[in-house]
Amino acid sequence: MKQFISPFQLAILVANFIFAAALITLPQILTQISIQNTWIVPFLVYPIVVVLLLIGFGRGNILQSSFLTNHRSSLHHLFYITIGLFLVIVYIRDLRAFIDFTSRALLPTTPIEVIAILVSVVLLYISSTGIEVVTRITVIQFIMLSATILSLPFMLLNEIELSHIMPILGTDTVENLSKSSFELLPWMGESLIFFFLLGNVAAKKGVKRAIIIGVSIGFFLLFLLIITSIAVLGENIVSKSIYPNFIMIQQINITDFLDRLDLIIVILWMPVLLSKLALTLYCIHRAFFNPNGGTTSNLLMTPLSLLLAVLAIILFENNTVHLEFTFLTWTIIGIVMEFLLLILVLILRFRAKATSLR
Amino acid sequence: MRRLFNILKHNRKSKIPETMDLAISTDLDNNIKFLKKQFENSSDVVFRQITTAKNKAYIIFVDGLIDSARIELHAIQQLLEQTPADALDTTYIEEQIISVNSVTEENKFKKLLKQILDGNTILLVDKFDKALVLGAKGGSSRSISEPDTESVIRGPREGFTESLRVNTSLVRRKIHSNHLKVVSRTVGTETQTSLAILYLENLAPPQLVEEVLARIDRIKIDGILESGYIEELIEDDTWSPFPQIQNTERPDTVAANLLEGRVSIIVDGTPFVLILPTSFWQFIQASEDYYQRFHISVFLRLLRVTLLFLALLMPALYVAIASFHQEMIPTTLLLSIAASREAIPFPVFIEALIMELSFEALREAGIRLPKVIGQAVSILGALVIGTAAVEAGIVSAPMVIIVSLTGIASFTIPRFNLAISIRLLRFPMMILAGIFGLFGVVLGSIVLLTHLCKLRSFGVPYFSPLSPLKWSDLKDVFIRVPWWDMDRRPKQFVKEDPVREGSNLKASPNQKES
Repeated sequence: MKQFISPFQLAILVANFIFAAALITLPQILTQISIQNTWIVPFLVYPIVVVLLLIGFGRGNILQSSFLTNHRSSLHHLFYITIGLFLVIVYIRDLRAFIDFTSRALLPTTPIEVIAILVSVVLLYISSTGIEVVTRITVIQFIMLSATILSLPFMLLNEIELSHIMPILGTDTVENLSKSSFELLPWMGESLIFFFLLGNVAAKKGVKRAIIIGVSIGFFLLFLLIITSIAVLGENIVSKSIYPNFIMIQQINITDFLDRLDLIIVILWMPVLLSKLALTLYCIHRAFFNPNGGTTSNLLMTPLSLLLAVLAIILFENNTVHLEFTFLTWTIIGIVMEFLLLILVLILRFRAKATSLR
Repeated sequence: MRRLFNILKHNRKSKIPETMDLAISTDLDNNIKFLKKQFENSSDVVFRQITTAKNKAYIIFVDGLIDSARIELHAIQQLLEQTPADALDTTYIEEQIISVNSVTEENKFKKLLKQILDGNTILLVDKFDKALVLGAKGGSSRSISEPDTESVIRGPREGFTESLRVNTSLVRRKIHSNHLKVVSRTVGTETQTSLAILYLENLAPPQLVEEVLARIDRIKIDGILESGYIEELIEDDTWSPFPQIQNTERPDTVAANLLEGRVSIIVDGTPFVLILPTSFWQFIQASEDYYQRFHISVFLRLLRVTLLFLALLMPALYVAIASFHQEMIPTTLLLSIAASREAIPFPVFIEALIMELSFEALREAGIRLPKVIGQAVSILGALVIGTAAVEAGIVSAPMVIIVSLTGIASFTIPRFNLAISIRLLRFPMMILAGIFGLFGVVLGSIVLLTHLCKLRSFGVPYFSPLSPLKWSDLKDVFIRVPWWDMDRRPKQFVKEDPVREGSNLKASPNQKES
């Protein structure tokens, strides 16, 4: 039986999708490029992403209707395969990032293979419950994390130095901001997952608003983290730390007693990223093995999950190689695949419109 | 007649044959012979012969199940003294002689046997092919008293008993509405246990009632001795550690849930009544939350939610932090813990396991021991475990504090079935914490959360209204808003008539009468 989600849940899913993994290491490369002007970058990328999504969605609910029906054309299948491949790369990248972070921050003596298997088993359980349950746990955890992120500037008030975030305009400011925007765009372009999930939204009203709200929330939270980390640590530390946000939350010092809140915040963040990974795994499984979303067989979820976990380990020799892929390779792959997906969405929409006019 | 004779010849078990649908004959002797055969070796089944209007008659009942005084006064005495010789028939006896308040006719042996075993009295008269069933049940049963498991400071003090009729009457006293329906069912081939399914016709979704009845009708079992049998036979996911059906001993709890569109099942022979469908958050609600002023309710609810998480996670968090993430502990506290653990030969995880298992053993022993010595032994055990174990260097003082606080936290959960689930789940969390630290705790928590979000109770999501999120229903979950603001019933149960009170009920000095 097909499962459905509400526009509000869709918004939270999209917000989580673009925010949860981006906060791990992305601020480092962005700050390396555009130093203390980095907090401006989300404002530059946000309208681009929103416009692209609105162009893809178009007017009315024609695209949504074409995904809601069970009759799939070959173009639909092409779209699903493309987005499946896209999500495989996203999944491997994020899973390895999560494993590396866990290995560094929580379990330094545990082999990463053990962490990978453990995480995969948990993700397998979550993904096999279906989109409805994945959405429910995402909503609960994302709201908790968002409340924490919103309170971060207040918790770090005594550590913030506004001089760190004063914009410095130089001859290469525009160039640097453009480069950072180019770096950020593929990460935020992951919000294209929205088109894949359209087939699970029964409501016709409020879908467009949901995507704008979701993208806005994701961007805002990322902006808040970037500006707070630069304000607290300075661009020097942020650009050189692998996990700048983790270093930032280690500076929280409310009283002598409440100065070790970093791991507590990490505990709040980990389930949010696991929700994103679970959603990605679910979408990959559906894209390749169950494009209509109607059947409930999860037989192939187990080998798929374990295969992707193995790939996440063996494809990257160490964390440095993974970071290189994340900062450099992923940018190009991401942009190319996202534009390809957008073109496919546009073709699907035009074809659906032509069919409905006939 | 020949068929009846053949049946009498064979040695039949006391089980009422499903296929036997014999009718009562006009020959009283054959009828009695058949019934005596069914009840042979049952000395509590009494066959009292009388003569009424020169006709032989028998009064048959199970000694101990009937109200002997009423039968003697309103049936036997009437039959012996007031029956005219002529124009005697069952209708005349029923309408003009017997003054027991409930009299029905039966003409099949199968139903007659059931009536006798249910505690009714049977009157068989010679030359009549019908029997009269006199409803004068009695016997001794427990009186209505305050439930042991759900005592309150403020609120009604009556609790259900083992009698089905008493229990249905207790609910009827709360809800004086003709919309309250009481549907009967009988389950259990040997025990023939009576069930009463209660619901408010204008509130409970018809599909829910149909589903409940369908699941009960599907039950094929020899005996039902407690509502727990029914619970396990009809719940959605038996493998889940979380209960999906609530049980209570309080009629006011049942009435309140019926008024929110739920269905209740009363089982004869047990004071524990089932309420369904249920959500996770109902198990942390006590009936007293609705009787005290809302400030107290808010405080108690928030306290219970916090203690629920502590009951589940505190030992695991201590094990994880003490074993893997000592940097999280403030320095002075860390030195104190390190000093107390210096001489302990076991790792934190083993220490926690020892203490938790000892505590569980002590708690279980406290339930089973006779009340006279139970309290003394519990105190002694606590002292032995607490003091002596610390002084012997088996466990550390912080661990004793953690385990004690966890135990107290689990006692604050109002519903025992959820409390015991949380107690069980503590152990896997501790194992995960002992092996993987906080990472293991996080993974365990997310698996639990996923399970809770996946679970359903008769179609209703178990974690609602938190997930799926329904803002309007959250006013009775972590807090309880004042009664003048609780104008709507929970949306996941009642779709037809969601409004339960008028608007603008908040009193104020200048309020005009509407």
